[in-house]
Amino acid sequence: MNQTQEVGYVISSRDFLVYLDGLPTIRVNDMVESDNGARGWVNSIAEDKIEILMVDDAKITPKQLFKRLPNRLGLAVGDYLLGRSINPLGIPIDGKGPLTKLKNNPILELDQAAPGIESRQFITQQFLTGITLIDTLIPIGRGQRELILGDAHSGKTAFLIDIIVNQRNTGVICIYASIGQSAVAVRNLIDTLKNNNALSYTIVIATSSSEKAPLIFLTPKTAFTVAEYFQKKGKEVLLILDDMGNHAKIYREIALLGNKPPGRESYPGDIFYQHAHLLERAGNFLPGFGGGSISALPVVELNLNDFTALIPTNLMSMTDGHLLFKSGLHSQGQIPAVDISLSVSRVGRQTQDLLSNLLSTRIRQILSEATDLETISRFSAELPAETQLILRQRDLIMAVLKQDSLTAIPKQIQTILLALIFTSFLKDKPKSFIEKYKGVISEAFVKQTALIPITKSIGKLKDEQKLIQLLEGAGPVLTKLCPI
Amino acid sequence: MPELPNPTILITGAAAVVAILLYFHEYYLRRKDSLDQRKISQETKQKAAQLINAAEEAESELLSKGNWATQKLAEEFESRLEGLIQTSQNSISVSQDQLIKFMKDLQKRSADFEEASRSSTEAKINQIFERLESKLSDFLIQTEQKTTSSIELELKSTRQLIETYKNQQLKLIDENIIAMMEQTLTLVLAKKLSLKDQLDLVYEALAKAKVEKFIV
Amino acid sequence: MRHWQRLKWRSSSFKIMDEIFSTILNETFTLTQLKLRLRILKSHLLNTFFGSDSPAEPLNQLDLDWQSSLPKTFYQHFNKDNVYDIFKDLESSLNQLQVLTIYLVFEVNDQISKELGTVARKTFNKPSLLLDIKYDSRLIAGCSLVWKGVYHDYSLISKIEGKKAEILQSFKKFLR
Repeated sequence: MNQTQEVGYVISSRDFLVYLDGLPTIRVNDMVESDNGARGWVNSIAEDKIEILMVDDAKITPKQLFKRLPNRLGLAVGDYLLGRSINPLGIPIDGKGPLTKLKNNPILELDQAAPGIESRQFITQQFLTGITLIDTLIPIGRGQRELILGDAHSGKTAFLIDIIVNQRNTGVICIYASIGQSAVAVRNLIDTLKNNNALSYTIVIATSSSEKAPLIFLTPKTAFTVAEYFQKKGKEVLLILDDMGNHAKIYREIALLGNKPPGRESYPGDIFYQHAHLLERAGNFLPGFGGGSISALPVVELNLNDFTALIPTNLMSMTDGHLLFKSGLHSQGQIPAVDISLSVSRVGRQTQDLLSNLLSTRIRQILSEATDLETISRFSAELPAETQLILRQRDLIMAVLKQDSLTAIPKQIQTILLALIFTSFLKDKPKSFIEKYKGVISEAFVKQTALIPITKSIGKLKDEQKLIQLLEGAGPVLTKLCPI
Repeated sequence: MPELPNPTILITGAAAVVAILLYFHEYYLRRKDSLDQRKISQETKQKAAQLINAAEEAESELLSKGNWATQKLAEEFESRLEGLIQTSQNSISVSQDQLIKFMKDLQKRSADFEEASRSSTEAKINQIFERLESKLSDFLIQTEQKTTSSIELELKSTRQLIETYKNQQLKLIDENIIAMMEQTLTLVLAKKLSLKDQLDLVYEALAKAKVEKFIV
Repeated sequence: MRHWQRLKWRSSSFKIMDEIFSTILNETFTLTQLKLRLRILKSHLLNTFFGSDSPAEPLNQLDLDWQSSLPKTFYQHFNKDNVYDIFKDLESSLNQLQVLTIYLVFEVNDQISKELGTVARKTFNKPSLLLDIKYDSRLIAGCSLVWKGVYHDYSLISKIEGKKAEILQSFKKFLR
């Protein structure tokens, strides 16, 4: 206890919500501590009382003394966080011992205002995920926010882990915020990342569902604070928020306990603000404001594929696109289980080079035509040759887009594989051919001396027709390598 | 009597006379031809014999000429050959001498060269040894320095660690001292200070609060 | 009631309340005591007005003395109509009271708390100052005060914490 300090006494308490009086010069987001060491932060200030959300579990009695702490709601950030798992207050939870903090590590506040327009830069670079379906058809840019929607068991988490693992050696820092997931899931995630040597450039910020609601509520704020630290150093950051639906539910719990009037689906009226002011902190920044970029991938779990509920629609309106995962596609074996027709990337097209753009337009055309023709194909026994071609091309495309977990395909190979579908080499082959020989073909374009020039020349091509012509020349080499 | 002869018989008779005349003409011409022919063939034979004679003469003339020419040629060839053989013999002997001289020269030179190379190799080897010695000694000195300096660094850091530890422990002890003192004071004062004393202290605190304008 | 009549009634009721309050506060020095006395006063008055056969609550001597010391004029303020209103106002104005919280190392009885209260009121020149006495044995001697949400420690322990270095030095003089 210091000589002179501001104190407050408990007026009333409800679970993790405590009302204090006193504390004359307190501000929102200051920290207070009770005499038995339980900490809380100031959520709101009324005329005669102060609302505190407790982050530590302790018994609160009326008239208990709370003293004001000198620090505000924040945590110390630094490079030592890489490879570690922490909780939102900066305490390590991975059992690897205390964090090696230095004295001059900055302590950043969790609640920062999102930078304004003057600090943003046009998104021009593509964020390569290593997954063919995303990089070609629904590209993501560096600094974009892309919402990941999907039912339970539709492969979202595995997809996100793949993206993280495929960022090895690219200099991208990955931050995974696990908001109120089960402790087992967090443990599995950390182990998977460790087994794939992905932990050295990843930070995990996790709260299990058994922790106090205010602590779970802070998780995305901590994630963004850490991301901003790295972004200001000029790094590219990938931030995954899994999942925002949980965050919304926790905020609803806190608001309802605090007697805030419930709105639609019983969420409080400012639920949009809570998510929007977080997601606005992501983006691509000018060198004057640090350089770097924060690409955010918020995740929402849907109920029975219903994306018209409040939270999914809110998030869809504040992000630059969304990927819709369907569990039906997942059980059919399409991995990643993204519904291409219902997914969109509003900023990604400007980051793709011209060749990929043209190729992806063509592929989307075929996919949409095939969807139309599919109904006919079910009813007629004999189809004209063009229809058969389109349907077969669609099958080939889907076979090329299927990608197993923890595999990365470089960008040029992705383009080549998709362009091969339009060459005579693959024109008549069934999709089982691709499934069998995809790996062989991909390797061939990297290792065979006859084919390496094609791979290298992709950067200079301006037209997908030219690429297809080049690949016609590669036909004989490939036929030799892939005996039927 | 004689009637006019039948025209047919007239014509036939005319024709026969003509035929006989033609036949005589023809015979006469044939005889002349054959005579001419005989004459021509005789002339031809004569001419041919003349030609053959002339050819024979020419042939013998040529032959004699040729013989003589061949002989003359053969003589010349022989003399020339003699001359060539002589010159070549000379040149061979000259070049032989040259070769022998050259070989001798070569031998001498190679012997010299061997000598020279041996001596230079010896000198080089000596030089290399000297350099090796000096480098080795430098290297040893350097290693020794490095080892000593690294050991010193280690020692310094260890000493520092020990210092830090010592300071930490001393600080702990200090805090313990203070804590013990506080405990002692609590126990003692609780027993010793009378109620009046305690109250006095409280009044003092209140007075101080007033002075410090803590309570306005 | 008309508006001006209501205002008049309110202002007069304020005056009445102030009088009642000051009378009560004359002899009451701690918050706990105040709340207790309000309660017994209320129950006594309700008993008197609305009568009941329940036996009166046993009170300690001090409170009984106080009760009997209240002048008759005091009781005249109350009647059947306004008793509830007055007490409602009194309870709501409890929150506006200025309370000095004081942490002591020893337990106090009524006598001492009265003394303390008088001295405090005199020192700070606030006749209606109320004390809230709490106990904290970590303060070795003296007391610490909390006023308007600010905590100041006037106890011995804070002095020791402040002079740690000197104390340690003088201890170390005894080391070999």
